[in-house]
Amino acid sequence: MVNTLPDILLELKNLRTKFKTFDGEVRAADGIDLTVHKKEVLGILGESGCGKSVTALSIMRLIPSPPGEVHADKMELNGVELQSLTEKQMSKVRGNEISMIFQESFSALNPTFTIGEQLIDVLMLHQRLDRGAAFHKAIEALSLVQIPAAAKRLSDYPHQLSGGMRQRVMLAMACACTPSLLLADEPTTALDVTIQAQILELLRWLQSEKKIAIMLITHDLALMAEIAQRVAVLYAGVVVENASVQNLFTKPLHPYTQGLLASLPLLEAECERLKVIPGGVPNMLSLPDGCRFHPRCPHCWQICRQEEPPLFPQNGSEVRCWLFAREMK
Amino acid sequence: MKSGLLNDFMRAFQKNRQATFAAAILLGIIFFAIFAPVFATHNPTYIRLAQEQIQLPPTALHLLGTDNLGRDIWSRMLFGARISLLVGFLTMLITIIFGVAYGAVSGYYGGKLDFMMMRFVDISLSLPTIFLVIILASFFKPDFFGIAVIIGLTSWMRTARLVRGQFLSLKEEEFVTAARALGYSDCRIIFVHILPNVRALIIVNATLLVAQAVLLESALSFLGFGVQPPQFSWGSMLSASQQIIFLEEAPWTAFFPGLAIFITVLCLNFFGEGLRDAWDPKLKNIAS
Repeated sequence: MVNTLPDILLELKNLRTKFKTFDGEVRAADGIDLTVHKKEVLGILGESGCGKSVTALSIMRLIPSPPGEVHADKMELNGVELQSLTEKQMSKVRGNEISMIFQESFSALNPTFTIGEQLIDVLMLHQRLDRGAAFHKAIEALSLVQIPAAAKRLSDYPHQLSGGMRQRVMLAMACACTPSLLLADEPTTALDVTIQAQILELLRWLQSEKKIAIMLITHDLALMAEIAQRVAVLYAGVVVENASVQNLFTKPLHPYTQGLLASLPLLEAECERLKVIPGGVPNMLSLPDGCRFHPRCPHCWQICRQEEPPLFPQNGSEVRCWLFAREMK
Repeated sequence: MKSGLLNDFMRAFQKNRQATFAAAILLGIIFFAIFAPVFATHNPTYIRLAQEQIQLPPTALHLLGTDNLGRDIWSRMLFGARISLLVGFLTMLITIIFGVAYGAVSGYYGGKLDFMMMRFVDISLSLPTIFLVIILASFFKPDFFGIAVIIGLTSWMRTARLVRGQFLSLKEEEFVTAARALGYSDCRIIFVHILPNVRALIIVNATLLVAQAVLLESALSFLGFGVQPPQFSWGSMLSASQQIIFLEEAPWTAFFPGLAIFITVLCLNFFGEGLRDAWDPKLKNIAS
């Protein structure tokens, strides 16, 4: 694995998150390896239901159990194995070292408190501030995420703010204690395009100025191209491609990634229909044998149906596809 | 903007004439109970056994007449209200504190714990309340506080179920996940983050619980298991009037305490329903 950035912040090896359902066991994450370096933006790309959010929640240890079960060979943040922490130690990590923001800012804020109360509460919890100091820090935090008239907004309830404002409040809460890692679960999906751009700007600023590494979960390719340095493409619970953002967009390797990029509508190109990847995401209860993507793959050959490919290194990227096995030899 | 929400609520509540009227009467009753010594015309426990003093009909001197021991009923009503309301209120507090904590923990953690806790609720609910209360009361010979504890111990189950139901759905809300992601402890999430979302429901439930408790205490005192002399409540006044062999001779001894219980419970129920309607956003839109 090529990495130009030296410091490893989060190392995840062979993450397996299973859910027991009445129909059987769903392996939502089925051996995911990820590495997040300090101060970088790692993009997690994938369709709905491929395990993006589950991965984030697993890192936070917020998968409800039962029915969920999380196992990983390694889940280290700054060299500390998260799985070995007690619940009490873990709650110190949450909010302090890893924070998370969600897609729906409205449902992620408590409707019965003003945003000021919620912000002050977080600050008092993690930084042992008294109410007065926390109040000033809260105003500061809101100003940092570019909320105008921050002091006034503190006494607003979540329903009184716009979607973009609420997402900023979420960011302010998540970053109030300057965590080293921010898990952003589709932070802009529910917002319109101009607000998306502002939130994006804010994320970029947090990364460059506050040195917060961001794990950005999205299915938005354009967003990914804008902000991420490296991208991991997820398909049906596994990483199918690890690449720098330049490589991913200029030389996509995995047929799935190629399909995704080909399905983007282009303004210049004249085509009558959008290209799509045939078929749909496999049912997680009955995954196909061999490569998970083979029923939809245009390059499928014998071995794809029989054996699951490992990650093959290729031009500084990694790709989980048999097509690249020959070149390795 | 807190006052804004409160204003909305007050407006919705005031539209309900019945509930506003009930609230006014309740305030009046509480006022009289608090200032009982001011309004009482006689010593409520002073016994006059002279033949011309007992079972007097209402007169200017004895506003509501006297009972079988010659005690002034008006004065006894005022002081009796204190015990009746206090027992009602205390019972409500005990029920709410225990029931809410129980339901919250059960609903939040779910799973096996929830299953066990709810089966215990089912078992408790299947015991007939009044008999259980009578058995406990005859066993412990409680004062009014003890009565409140006993009634509270037999009426927390419905509150627990109600709160559990709310917690089951609220814990799935994303703000709970977000709160956990921010590093809050379970205890804090349950009581500081989720509980305020249930407060409307709890307050309405509390009001109705007071009414229930007043009734139950009256029944208990009527049967002689309630507060013991020299303490007395509306219920024990009813009980005393039962001893008058010819009730038709002095119907006022039973009528006035009975009326007081009836009005109080009715008003509490109207008030509780008014609160619920004012708080229920679905009904609110139709009303305005």
